[in-house]
Amino acid sequence: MKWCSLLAEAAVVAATAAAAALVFNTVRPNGGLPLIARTPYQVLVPCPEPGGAVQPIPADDPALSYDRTFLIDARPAEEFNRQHLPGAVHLPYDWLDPVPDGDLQQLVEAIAASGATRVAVYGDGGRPDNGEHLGREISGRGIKNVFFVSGGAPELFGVATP
Amino acid sequence: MNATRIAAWLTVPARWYLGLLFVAACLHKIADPHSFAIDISTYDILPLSLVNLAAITLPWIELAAGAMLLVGWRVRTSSVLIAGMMAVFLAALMVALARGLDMSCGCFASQGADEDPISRLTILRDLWWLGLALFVLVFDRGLVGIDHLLDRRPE
Amino acid sequence: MNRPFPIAMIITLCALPTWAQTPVCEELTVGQRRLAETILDSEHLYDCCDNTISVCLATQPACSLAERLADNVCRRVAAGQDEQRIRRALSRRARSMVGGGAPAEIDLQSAVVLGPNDAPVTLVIYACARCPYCSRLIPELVEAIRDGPLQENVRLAFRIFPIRGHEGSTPAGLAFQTAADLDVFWPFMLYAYGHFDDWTEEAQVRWATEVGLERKVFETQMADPSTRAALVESKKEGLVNGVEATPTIFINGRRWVGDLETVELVDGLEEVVIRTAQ
Repeated sequence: MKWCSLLAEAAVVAATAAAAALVFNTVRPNGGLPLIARTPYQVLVPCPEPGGAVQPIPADDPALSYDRTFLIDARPAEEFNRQHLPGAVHLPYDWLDPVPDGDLQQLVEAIAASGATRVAVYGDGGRPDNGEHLGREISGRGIKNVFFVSGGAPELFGVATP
Repeated sequence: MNATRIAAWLTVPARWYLGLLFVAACLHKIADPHSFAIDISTYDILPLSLVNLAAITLPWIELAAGAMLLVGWRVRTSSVLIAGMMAVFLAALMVALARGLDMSCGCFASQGADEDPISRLTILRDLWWLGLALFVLVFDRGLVGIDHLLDRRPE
Repeated sequence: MNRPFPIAMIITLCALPTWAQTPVCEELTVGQRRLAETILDSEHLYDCCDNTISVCLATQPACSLAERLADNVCRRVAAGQDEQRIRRALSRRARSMVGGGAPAEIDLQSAVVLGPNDAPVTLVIYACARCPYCSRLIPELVEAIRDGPLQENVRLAFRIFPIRGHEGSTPAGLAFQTAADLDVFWPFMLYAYGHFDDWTEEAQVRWATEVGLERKVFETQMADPSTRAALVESKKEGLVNGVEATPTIFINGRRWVGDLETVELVDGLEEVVIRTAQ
């Protein structure tokens, strides 16, 4: 089959399909598109702040001491060093920059290795609470079953963080 | 069995793969032309006056070419159409990437941007499909399908 | 009780010629009028008149909100929006105007403010420096307010809310904060949004020089820890106030959940100005 006739036939098929498309567009029940768009399409939407779902748990929840619960401390180093829940992993939350990919990968592997079925994050219980927001971040980046401790460290350790 | 013969047989699964791909891909565009029009507008290449026409007709051309490939009718013609469309999509992709259109940021209304944000991988994938279409175009001998039933002999 | 029905009918019949008197509604085609009528006859005002928009337009003296909403509906019909979308927009606008809850706590001392300090209405924008939607809306909105009839009554405030993980949001946010600390925020922000597609970390320093800053001064201020601290405070405030996407706008502490379009926001602001004046 020569190229010219090949292209011609392709053009015929395309034109027939296009015609069918236009007919369908006119008769379709829930209304097709107008042939010429008048108003520009809304291509952009407000940029969403990324994050996933987290559930709060109270500070006296017994699940916090289960083996199957992976604990994360979201507070800065000095607060962590002063006092933290035994076994809690330190992952200080930065308000601007997300957890680096490498660190997140290590976290995922550590959670998998520990056999934990849930992750509980606690922070400083402030407004906003860095524990809650770290929880949202890791939940949004694929970690499942993330909870945060309502009220954070002050509720857990019973003293106001200086 | 020489190489050409093997290639001719390989065009059969290639046709089915490409055909299914295109038919499956075009259905949601036919079902929701408004969303597809937003996808097209996001690339910001076509003038507004042509966006709706493209959104209405393109999916049906994909449907026709894909179906023809699937059943093996006029394979040369449909593979030319598919190759042509892939070439156009690739060009649009490369322009968008060159402009730094980062669709993975969630700031776009386009559903396609959310689910399938463009990247270098997308270009490689589309090149693969373009290559497959050209392969079918060159090596098809009408061994299986409607062309075979109608002609009962290779070209 | 059958009495109210004929009375309501008479009022509605009297309303029919009246609603067409708002200027925007008069421009509609016959088909468009039918749609507008359907909506105006069934949507209720949320303030100043306890009835449908059509009925309120007919009562004398007409409530200005009735005219405003009628214009809004007719404008949307003329723009080709469908019924469902218009009704949803009206509902969101109502929520923006009379939504409950405590006003958001916004630290206007730390925010960058433009406009008279005694203005009755304050509009606060939370935005990310690398947000494309913000780059389209905010310059337009700022110019409409600053250069328009609202300038006496509306004070603008900007709070930087860098979207997490968004490419360049932190350095660009720091640049915005630096510009604010150096008192050139509004020109810098407008310039940056105007050249949105050309952003790089190097380019934004050049932009600072375009708005009259010295390179060294800008870079030093940007590297100062207090700048980052201020940016963090701004982001935290947004999080506490429930900001989940940028731009997010608050009018007198109440979150705007209507359309994020200049024409809609200006309309809403005019309404709030009138209401606070009463």
